[in-house]
Amino acid sequence: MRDEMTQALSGHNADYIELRLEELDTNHISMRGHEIDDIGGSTSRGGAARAYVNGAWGFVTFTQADNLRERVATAVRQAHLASGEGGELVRGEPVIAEPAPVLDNDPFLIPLDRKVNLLQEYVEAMWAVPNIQSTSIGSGDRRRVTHFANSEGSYIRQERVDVTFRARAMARRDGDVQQYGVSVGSLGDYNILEGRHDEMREIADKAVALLDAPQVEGREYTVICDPILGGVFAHEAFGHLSESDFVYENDQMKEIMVLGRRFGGQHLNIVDGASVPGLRGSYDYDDEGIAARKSDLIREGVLVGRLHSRETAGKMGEGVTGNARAMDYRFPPIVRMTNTFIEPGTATAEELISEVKDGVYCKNWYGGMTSMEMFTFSAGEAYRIRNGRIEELLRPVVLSGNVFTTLENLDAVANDLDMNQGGGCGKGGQSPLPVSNGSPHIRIQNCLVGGA
Amino acid sequence: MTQRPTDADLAMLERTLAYARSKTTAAEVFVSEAESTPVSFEAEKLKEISTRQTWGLGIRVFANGRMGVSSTNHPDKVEELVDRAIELARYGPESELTLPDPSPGTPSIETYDPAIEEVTTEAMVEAGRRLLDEAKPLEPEALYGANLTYSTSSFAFLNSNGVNFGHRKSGFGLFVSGTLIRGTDMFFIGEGDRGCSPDWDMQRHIDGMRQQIEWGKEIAPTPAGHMPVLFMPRAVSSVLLGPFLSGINGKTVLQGSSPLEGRIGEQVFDKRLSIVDDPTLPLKPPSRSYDDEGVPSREQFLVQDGVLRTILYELQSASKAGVEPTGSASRGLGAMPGAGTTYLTIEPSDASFDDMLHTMGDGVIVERLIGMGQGNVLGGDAGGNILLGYRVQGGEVIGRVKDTMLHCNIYDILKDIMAIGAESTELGGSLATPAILCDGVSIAPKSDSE
Repeated sequence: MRDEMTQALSGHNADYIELRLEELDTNHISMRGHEIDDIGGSTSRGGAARAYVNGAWGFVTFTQADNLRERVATAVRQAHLASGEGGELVRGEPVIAEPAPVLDNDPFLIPLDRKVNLLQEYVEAMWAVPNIQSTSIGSGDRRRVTHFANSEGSYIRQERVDVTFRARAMARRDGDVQQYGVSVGSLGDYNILEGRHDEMREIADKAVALLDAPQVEGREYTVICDPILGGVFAHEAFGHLSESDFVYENDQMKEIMVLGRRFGGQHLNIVDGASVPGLRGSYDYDDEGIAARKSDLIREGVLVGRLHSRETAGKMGEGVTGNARAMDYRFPPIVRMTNTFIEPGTATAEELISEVKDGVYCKNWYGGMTSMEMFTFSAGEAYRIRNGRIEELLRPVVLSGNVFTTLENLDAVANDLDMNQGGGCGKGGQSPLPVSNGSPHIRIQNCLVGGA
Repeated sequence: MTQRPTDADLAMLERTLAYARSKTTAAEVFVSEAESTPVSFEAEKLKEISTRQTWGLGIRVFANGRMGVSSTNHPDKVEELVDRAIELARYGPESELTLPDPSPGTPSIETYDPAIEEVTTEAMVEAGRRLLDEAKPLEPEALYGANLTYSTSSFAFLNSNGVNFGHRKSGFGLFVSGTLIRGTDMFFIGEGDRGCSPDWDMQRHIDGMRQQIEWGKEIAPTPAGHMPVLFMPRAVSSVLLGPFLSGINGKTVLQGSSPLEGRIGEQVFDKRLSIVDDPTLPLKPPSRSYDDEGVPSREQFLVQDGVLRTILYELQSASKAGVEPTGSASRGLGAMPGAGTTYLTIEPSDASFDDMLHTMGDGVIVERLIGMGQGNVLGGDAGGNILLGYRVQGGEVIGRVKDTMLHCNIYDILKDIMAIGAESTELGGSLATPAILCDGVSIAPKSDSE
């Protein structure tokens, strides 16, 4: 494979060229109620060639890995057609590597009947709770093997296995439907799916409890986020802003995201890094062949770094960070997060809560989205806090805000960092990309909470 | 671009089906293929020209009363593909569905415009430059980008009852966007459309951008409370339609989690609201002669004068519900088919835009939200952070709102609509809708914003 790829890359006229050949295998099972609703699998092979000429790219994807040289030539031709005003790409030393995959318990080796039985047991556990109207549950595995070669002489073979699991219970009374769920994942470890019977029962209990919960009054509150929601906050509210492809060609954005700018208090530290081992966003090399590392984004409240591809780093005169990622061969690598988290402080979660007079405690999540300046994310579970005590359960809430004011309003960070591996990130039509995010309990003053 | 599906593809389908039939009670096979050429401009510069090609073979088998699916893109591994689907079917959903028989006389719907063959990458690059040249003077301080694509795709399908059809599609899309940053205020604007035919008309996109800039350049204070909100066509699509479409999905209804269960024939919305799903319109991207399971396409009311008319079913959910399938199946490689809509039309009514502003008095116009699809969507909850929206005071647009959350329940606010616009806008080549003015929408501003 290596020789074939090296040969296809040689003798073209471009500033930089890379070629990826990939094998993708997926399996999924999903159940609605007691029945299997979908069971299937796919296997595909494909590749992508990408060439850089004077600040522009040519990019070609294909599913038949023949005529590799011609595929590369097409990418080079397109890059010349697009090329214009020049650009600086960070060059690297050749890397020859074949890192061992992280496979603690390979889901592709688990027999299908065992996977199906586990889901069936979980479904039974949820239905043991009275007033459950319906359930949905699913698991999926995805293996991606990448052969990467570039015009610098690199050849890297990597294999990643992504495991996901989700479960949701819906309770209904008259026309009112309420739901509660969980979503988890891992890098190459089927074990995370197992032993969740009690949790399934709790999910169902919570869905039923939501039927009696009041809706929060829409206004500002002091909000405590649990580690899962805090992680979503780190990802949505700040993480996307640190992706340099939004910044590198926009002078106004550069001004906003100038290194040294204060975003929050001394207690605020945010990092991202694929070299943090064993998480869903972990890898050895990114899809441009750059070694993974861990990058400080905010240190003691001050912006100190950002996430880069070869191109954004070159253009901004900063170092590469190994954050150029592609979903698979159908897509070009773009700047993405990996494992993003808020570092722990010293207080306990109880201390954070005890100081809140009028607030909302938000846990778990449905999702989130950002438009750079504004973000929004939703909590699957929320409780009212009064005078330092957690009180009644509320209907799910949506939190929203302006990243600049909200980071300033993040006034306390607890000591209980935990990583959430249940999410996937979407950007530029590439979704869901495996990432993880995490946080300790955090407190945000004057946070807008949506309700009816 | 190669003419697809090729004879080789069709021969492979026949071979795969024959092998599957020898081992199962029934089977469907299909090949789906696409080639697209996206051209993207970033920060007013040409950034990337791509050619993206995909090809895949999918199968569903029925054996011992159960079904399984699998897919591959190895043309030489069809036996493996079938065997894997059979293995998966051992655990697959129980099914008593009957595959459709051939339906001779089904009209052929045109979805391929040969004019796509005349489009060149150079012409797309040129069009992109022109789009940016025309956008720039609208607000010279903003930074613009553009995405242009042309594509062809095909789908060919066989089932063991002898259904055999294929269709080809052409695609063309233009999108332009702009970002204006002042201080930490970020103002995002954008327009664009796609269809089956090359459409080089840029004026309507430029006009749309001009309007957004005119209304949104100044920031207005946001009101708070429950008030009238004018959902512009884009917001009708993303805010109001989402929960409804998940509610009319047959699987959701069978599961008992749709608030629309058992309500066909009932008045669920305002009398003036009618929604039609029509896959038979020529040269619309979602159009097709047959759905992805071989059921002939037909035009149908989802909602007629506010009365719920249809729940959407693919074969499996139709069989379980004991009803006829609605020709709504769509499928991807390696997954069971699901039910969905095709080209939706929300029928316009009589209100001019100025009438609606006047009726609204004080309120908000919403164009784009972020953070949709969160909360209790099935229950009809819709909301999010207003990414692009405007404050209306005394019937006049006075500026852009920001740091503002919108929240509503579509089953409440669409029961008694204030007004439906007289003019329709087409979005993404798959929806035509007027703007809709609703009352009682919750708007929550953030008080400490600039």
